[in-house]
This record gives sequence, C-alpha cells and structure tokens, in this order.
Amino acid sequence: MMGGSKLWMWVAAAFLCTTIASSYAAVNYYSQSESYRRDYQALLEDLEYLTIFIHMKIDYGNGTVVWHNSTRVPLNSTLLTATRVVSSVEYVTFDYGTLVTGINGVGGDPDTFWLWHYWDPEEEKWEYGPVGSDRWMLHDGDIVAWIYTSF
Amino acid sequence: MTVALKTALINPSQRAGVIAVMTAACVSTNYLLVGVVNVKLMDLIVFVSGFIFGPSVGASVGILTWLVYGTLNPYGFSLPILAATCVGESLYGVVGGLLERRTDGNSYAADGGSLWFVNARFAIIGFLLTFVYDLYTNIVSGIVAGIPIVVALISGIPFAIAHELSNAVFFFVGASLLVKAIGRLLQGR
Repeated sequence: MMGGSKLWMWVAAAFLCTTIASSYAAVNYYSQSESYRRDYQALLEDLEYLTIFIHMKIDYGNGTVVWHNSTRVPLNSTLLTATRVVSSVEYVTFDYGTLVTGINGVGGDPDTFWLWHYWDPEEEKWEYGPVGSDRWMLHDGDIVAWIYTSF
Repeated sequence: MTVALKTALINPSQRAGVIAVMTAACVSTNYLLVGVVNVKLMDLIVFVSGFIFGPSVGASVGILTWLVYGTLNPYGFSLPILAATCVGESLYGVVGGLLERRTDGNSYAADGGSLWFVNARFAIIGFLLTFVYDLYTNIVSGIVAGIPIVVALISGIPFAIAHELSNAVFFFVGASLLVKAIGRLLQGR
C-alpha cells in the first residue's frame, strides 16, 4: 500500500498535468482570439476605404422620427442606395429620376409624398433635395432626411 | 521473479534483438499513424523498453527510431531537429529505466483495484515526459527556424496538447499491459 506522502505527491503531479493542459488551452485560445481581433481590425481598416458613414433621418409624418446615425454605406452610394440599406423602399422610376413612394410600408396616401432633404452645414439648415434620390451622391458625414410630407 | 530481475538475464545478442524489435515496432506504428500529427505509440513503446530492459536499451530504441523516422519523414528532414528529437525521445527510455530501478518494478505490476492507480501514475508520467519533450523540441525548432521562441511555443500548443493528452491516454491504457505482456514473454509463459 502506498504511503500518504507518496499518494499526495502523485495527486500533486496529477494537478500539475491538469494545470499544464489548462494553461496550454488558455494560451492557445487567447492567441487565437488575438489573431481574430487583428484580422477584424485589418478588415475594418480595409472597409474604411470602401465605405462611408452617413446620418439619415426618416420622419413618417405621424410623429414618428427615426434617426439612422453613423450608418455605414458603400462608397459612391446614392441617397436611394443608402435608404435601401436602412429600410424597405418602394419606388417608381421615371425618365427624370426615381420617385420614392413608400418607406417601411408607409406611403401612398393622397396628396402626401416622400420628400428628401439634406443638411447644409454652412447655412445650418435643411435644404430640399434638388434631384431624384437616385442621383444624389452621398459623401462621408452627410446628413439627409426623408420626410413624409402632405400638401 | 520480477520483470527487472528477469531482464538482467538477457545476453548481448538478445539485447540487440530486443532493441531491433522494439525499434521496428516504433517505426511501423509511426508510419501507420503518419496522418495523425503528434499522436504516436512510439513514446509508450520507448518508455516500456526502458522500463523493462533498462535505460540504455530504452534510449537506444528512441534514438534508432528517430534516426529512421526522422530521416525518412513525410514532413521533411532537418538535422538539428533530428538530433533534438533523438535526445528528447531517449528521455522516455531513460526515465522508464530509472523509474523501474527506483521502484523495482513491483509497484507497477499490480492488478485488481490498484491497477487503476498504477495506470494513472503511468498516465501522469507520460504526460509530464511529453510536456518536457514538447517544450524542448519546440524551443529547438524555433531556434532552427529562426523564429522567436515564444512564438514557436505558442504556435506549437495545439500539437503539444494533442501529443500530451494522447500520450496520457496511451500510457494509462497501454503501459502496464505492455509491461506485463513483455514480462510474461520473457518468463517463457
């Protein structure tokens, strides 16, 4: 029969083995997570070159106003493209451009239209969109708004 | 008669034969498991060789196995790494031999309920020996490849885990079985 001190020596050795194994696993998983974090950061940096951030307000005309701040959209996006990124859009296309008829299921009421505006930082006020939303190119930091307007 | 006493009776030619047979077993199982990286029966066989036939036989089996397997290796040949693995592998045989001398073999020839404890001790020894082996060979590999040792150790962790855990299992299941089986063979049963 094994003596008490020897028994504890083997128990300690067994714990040493489990400690080594768990330390290995911890270092390995930490190393993997760091590797994934670096890949994610690199991907994010690449994404910076291919995308822009815009801020979009959607006013449904019934008191509901939703802001989509810091929305990442592809480079060279038009307002229509960006709107389709953040919402479900219904529209019709004419020779002179695209007319948005519904956003997230809201639209189609008589004498009520989806009009878009952009924020003029120099004048510090909202301006009416001068062209169809499919022809307005967005730039990084642009602030735009869709307002369901009745006449 | 204990295994240790019996093995002392083998003559030089028998000794050479034993080394050849055990080396052949190591090499053949290595190639058999070539697709399973770092999971090999070699370490167990080398350890048992040392345990039964003494440290010098164990070390010889380890070195000769790596001289064959390390030279004709599907993962490539590197002389410094071959030298390191030869030295590292011989550790299993030497420790096996020293362990048998220290305990006189009897405490490992158990059966019944205490067999579990004996096997657990073999598993612990196998795990720790493999840990030392992996540490040593990963450091040498890092130096040879010219990469920082920390990087070599970290990148080798998945392989080390597979190696150490599989060896712990192999030593638990196979060490006492092999010792007993070879002991009976030597006793002419």
